Amino acid sequence: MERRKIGLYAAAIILALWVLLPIYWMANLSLQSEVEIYTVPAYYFPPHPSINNYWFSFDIESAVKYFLAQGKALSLFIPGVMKDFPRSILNSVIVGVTVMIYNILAGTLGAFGITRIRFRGAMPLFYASIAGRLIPPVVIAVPYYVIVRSVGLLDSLVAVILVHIMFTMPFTIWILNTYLLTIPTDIEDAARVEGYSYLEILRKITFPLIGPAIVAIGITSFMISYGEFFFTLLLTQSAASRTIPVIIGSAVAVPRVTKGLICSMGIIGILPAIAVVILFRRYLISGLVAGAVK
Amino acid sequence: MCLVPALAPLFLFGFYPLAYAFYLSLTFYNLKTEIPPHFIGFGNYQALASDSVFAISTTSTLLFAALTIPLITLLSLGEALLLSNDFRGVKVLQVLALIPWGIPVVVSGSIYRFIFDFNFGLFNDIMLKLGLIHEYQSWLSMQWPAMLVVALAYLWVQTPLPTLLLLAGIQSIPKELHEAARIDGAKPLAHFRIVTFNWLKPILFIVLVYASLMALWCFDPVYVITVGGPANFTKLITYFTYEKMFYFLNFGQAGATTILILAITVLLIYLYFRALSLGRLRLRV
Repeated sequence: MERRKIGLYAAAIILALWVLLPIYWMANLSLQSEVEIYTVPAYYFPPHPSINNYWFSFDIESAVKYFLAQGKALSLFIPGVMKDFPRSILNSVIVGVTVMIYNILAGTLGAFGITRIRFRGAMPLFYASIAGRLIPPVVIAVPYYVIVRSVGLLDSLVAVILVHIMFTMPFTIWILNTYLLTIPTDIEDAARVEGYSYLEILRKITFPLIGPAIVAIGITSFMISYGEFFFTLLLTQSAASRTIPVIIGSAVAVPRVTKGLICSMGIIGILPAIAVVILFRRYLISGLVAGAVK
Repeated sequence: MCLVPALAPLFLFGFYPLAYAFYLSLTFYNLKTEIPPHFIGFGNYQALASDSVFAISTTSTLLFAALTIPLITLLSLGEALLLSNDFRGVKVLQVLALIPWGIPVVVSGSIYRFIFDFNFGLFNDIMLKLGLIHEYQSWLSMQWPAMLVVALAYLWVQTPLPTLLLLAGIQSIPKELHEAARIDGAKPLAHFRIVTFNWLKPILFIVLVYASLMALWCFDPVYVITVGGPANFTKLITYFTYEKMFYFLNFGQAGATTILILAITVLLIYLYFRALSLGRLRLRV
């Protein structure tokens, strides 16, 4: 029995390290100055921890001045996209929240329609929506780009939001659908007899009942949209519409880049994600899994 | 009527572009030439077949899939089994294990890029101190190490969700099943195979499908960490398509590649379905 316990704890420690080490390394770099980061061998702990990089993330102008004052010995490079970082946080939130709300409203309406109002063609439409998840994103990249450009929405948040909705909706419908099927329809039937309309039933009875699933798909769609990189990269060209992953993704490949800045931006970028996971873990499990397991 | 808001984006921006991609794949459409777009049948597919980069890219994608699909499945199964045990701190660990799921793949890629950096990375330093290497190695310019780093950045983000699903599956196994197996005197391995594995089959199917789709569609870590190098070895098929489109402006061949990706996706899902003999698994409506 003791042996088994040691094994368990060893595995638990490995798992914790696997998750935490990369995050630690990013935090570690974000608290060092560029001189310290560009030192061989690397520092395992910040020798002089400072949150300068976090200030600079929001004020690239003074970062540039600061590095110029340090002289050219470091020959560091600050990619131009970095000055859009403060705006990109706002963009990320706008896109994520819009996608989330749309998924909740339209997804609930759609799944309710499929499971409760059994009309002709409900099944094929349901399968079509599931099949939507099988379309490789890259397949629709070119056509979508062409469509978006022809209606003049290139480099706008609307284009990004629309394609994110398209990505997240199949999953939303699938999860809500399976969750709705686990709920007895007695109350709804009774309400129907009483003369309530479908819309009233959905709003007053069903919506509160499927709460966990709605929270779960809301979070999932927010997360997918928040981290999505490929389409946002293609569709955006200016500060007005870039999101956090695009800023980081296009800055990181630059040689002799200011790594401390990237790392502080990365840490800021993952904070909301971590907060959401910790706060809503319960709903994620009960909402997503009721669909998948039963 | 109530399906319109949910399905309109899907059909307009999903299925319509899909049909358009079919059309592209059969069309000569190259903006780098003066030749106007015209129908060429399977010409794009033939061009791809004789494209050496495409061959490398396909091989790399298959290697990447062969590496990551079993790894995601086994890692998440192992994690889920570990987290289903009752020991002190398991609740905290369950939350921890889920955290990377929320982290954008681009950020994960950046972290791993820095860890495996040639001069200033953590990995080189540890290896040197352990005496496993004699001098710093440029991991990201060697083929297999670069591939493994991409896979690592990808695995880090992609294992938590399958873990969550499998964990919930394990926790939903009725106690009677465990007891019955115990009374019949099943050894641990047989116990796992008969009770746990059988119960988890439908979820394993979902995990396999998920891991395969993600492997075939993997783009972000390649873009951030290796940009397809060294010598195209990490140029996964999605990145290859991206290049065909936005560097070479050859939309026809890009379209043909995407149709091939779609075909492989569908084939894989069919094979899993058969392999796990999921006769009774249906998408319930």
